[in-house]
Amino acid sequence: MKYYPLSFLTTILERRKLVYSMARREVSSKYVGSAFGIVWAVAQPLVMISVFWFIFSIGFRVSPRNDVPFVVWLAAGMAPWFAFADIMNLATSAVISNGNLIKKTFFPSEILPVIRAVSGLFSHLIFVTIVLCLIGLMQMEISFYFFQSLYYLCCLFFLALGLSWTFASLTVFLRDIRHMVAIVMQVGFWATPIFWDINMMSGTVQKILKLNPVYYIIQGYRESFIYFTPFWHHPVYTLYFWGVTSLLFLGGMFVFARLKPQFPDVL
Amino acid sequence: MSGVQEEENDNEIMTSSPVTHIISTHQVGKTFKLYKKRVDRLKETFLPWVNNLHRPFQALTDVSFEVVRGETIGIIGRNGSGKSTLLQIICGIMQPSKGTIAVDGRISALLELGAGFNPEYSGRDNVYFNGSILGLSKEEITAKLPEIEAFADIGPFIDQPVKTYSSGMYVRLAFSVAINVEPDILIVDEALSVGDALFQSKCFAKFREFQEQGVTILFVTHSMDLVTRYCQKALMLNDGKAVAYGNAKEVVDIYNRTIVRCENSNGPTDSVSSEDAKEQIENLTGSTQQNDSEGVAFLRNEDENRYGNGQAEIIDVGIQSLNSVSQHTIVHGQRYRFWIKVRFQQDCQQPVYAYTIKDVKGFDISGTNTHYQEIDTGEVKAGQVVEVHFDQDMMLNSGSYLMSFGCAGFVDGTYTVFDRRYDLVTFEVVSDKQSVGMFDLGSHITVNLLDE
Repeated sequence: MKYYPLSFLTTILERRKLVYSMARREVSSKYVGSAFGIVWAVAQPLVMISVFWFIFSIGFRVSPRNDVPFVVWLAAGMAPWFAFADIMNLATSAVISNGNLIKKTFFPSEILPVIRAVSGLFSHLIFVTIVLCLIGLMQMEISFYFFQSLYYLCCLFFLALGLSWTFASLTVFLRDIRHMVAIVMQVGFWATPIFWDINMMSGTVQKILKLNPVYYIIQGYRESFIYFTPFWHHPVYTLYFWGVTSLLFLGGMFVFARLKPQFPDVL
Repeated sequence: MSGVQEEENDNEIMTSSPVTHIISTHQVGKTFKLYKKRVDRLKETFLPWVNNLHRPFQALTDVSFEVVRGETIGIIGRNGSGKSTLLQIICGIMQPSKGTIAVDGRISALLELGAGFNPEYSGRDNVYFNGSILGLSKEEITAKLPEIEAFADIGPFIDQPVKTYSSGMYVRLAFSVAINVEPDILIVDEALSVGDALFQSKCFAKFREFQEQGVTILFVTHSMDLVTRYCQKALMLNDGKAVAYGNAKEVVDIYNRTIVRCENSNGPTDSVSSEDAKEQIENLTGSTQQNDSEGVAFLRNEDENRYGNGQAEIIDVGIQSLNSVSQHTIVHGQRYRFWIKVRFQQDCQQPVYAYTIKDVKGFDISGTNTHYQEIDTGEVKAGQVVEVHFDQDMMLNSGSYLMSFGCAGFVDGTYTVFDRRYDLVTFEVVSDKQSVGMFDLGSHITVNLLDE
């Protein structure tokens, strides 16, 4: 038996319309039946940002850093994290919740995590819009560096997709993965420098914290929206990120391809 | 394509030109690995030194057959014989563990009711969704939508969520999508039985149309009548082995034969070993006239409803063909004998022997007894065994029927049931003649042109 991971990519390209329409379905099915629909999609991140801003800005009296309003700095860091955590949590159930499709129709199951990832981008888009609104509200500088966030979005997508393939396929055989991922994401939110500054830590701890590839993206979002630093200013970290991401991506494809033939037997 | 017609009735097509064979499987086998825990499966997949955690289950063994473009194939076999697994492999949903399979064309499959339907979405949305899974663009589906709607005939329900559909509406819409995506191969797994008679006839009319267009149809059914009527060929599976493949009528006969053999040798069990089946086929190919005593096909019902005071006992029943059109299949219009053997525990004067035939919905269709027909059944002593024959032409139309037998009598002037066995056997009538309803009055029709 041979598996060609590349065939994953060609399938995704060939079935991109299906991916798009299924992702759209997933987004709309989240809000189908609720009277306010899209309002909830905006309300949720808005409330989340407000709560964190309130706790840290008012409660703990965290002062603005380098003249950057804390709320913008916080939101810019939260945006990629929540997209990542969202996709991870959705991905674990990507395959098991489509058992009917896999067992009874000829369906390329490798696109299921892709669909979840794409549908996760919708709420991310709203989150980023809120960040931009905050920047406008605070009358902060506007720059072409904003577009650099697209590069980091790409980074986010590849990192999330590789892990999605792994988790989505493993969950089929080990349902516990779902809960494990949920807990890791909870812990990850606190352990990743999102609402606290990495510079608070000593040099060694900083190095350890930077091993988390998600931090590369969080830092990147802040550099794109606030500090206007190009990504090639830290080439080693960029290389490290892509090294890890490529490994996770290829590993995810390998695991998924290895387990895919057994899906119909188990689902 | 001229050569295809000649080859069609040949069971052993050995050429392998990709043009003529739209499906060819070569020694396809499927072994399911059964694990105690799901984690064991992961261990075996990723740890090269672990490979003994599973128990193998052989679902298919060495299935080889070839399908010529445009043929309609019936796939028959008892529950658990591997039919669905085979279809899943042909569709590409499952990988065979052994052997190769080549399919040359677009497959449209209706494997389960509403597979690929999202219950929250409207029928229309689901049509688009289903179509896009099959690789159609939005424009293509939009173009086909009127036709799909017309065939499904569910009216304004097309805009309702499919969770509100009845199962009949479900299957109508699903089937309508499946046939309107211009498949080269249409695969239908029993789903059709959900639709009502009108819809079914519409589907079979569509089958005919497809046959003319050269679309290949594979369908699984338990109705031998549908197989003989619509299929050129049939594939019979038993215990995961292809025990017979060829002319539909012959395979149906083999199928019915194995059921009879099972009834006679193993009693009322629900499994035919494939050794039995193989033997049957060898017998059949050797001489069709052997084993006349086996009688025709019927199934003994395990859930029979039996009561009586036990004064007499129906110990055996059977159906036998009285002319030799088919020894094992009940063919409409032929003559058949229902027989029962009754053992008496007590002496009895003028016992009454009876049978009743019901349709599967439980409606009485026909029946009689020796009392109604004023037959002198004489006196029977305790310990004696009586065999009763009911001989008649089978005027029932094609379909499945349930049969009950009874033995009763007058004890001290009261009518007493000795042994009544309701729904003891089921049998199926096949017919090559179209007709309406359950019963054929054997009408003789004359048409005269009147010109005055």
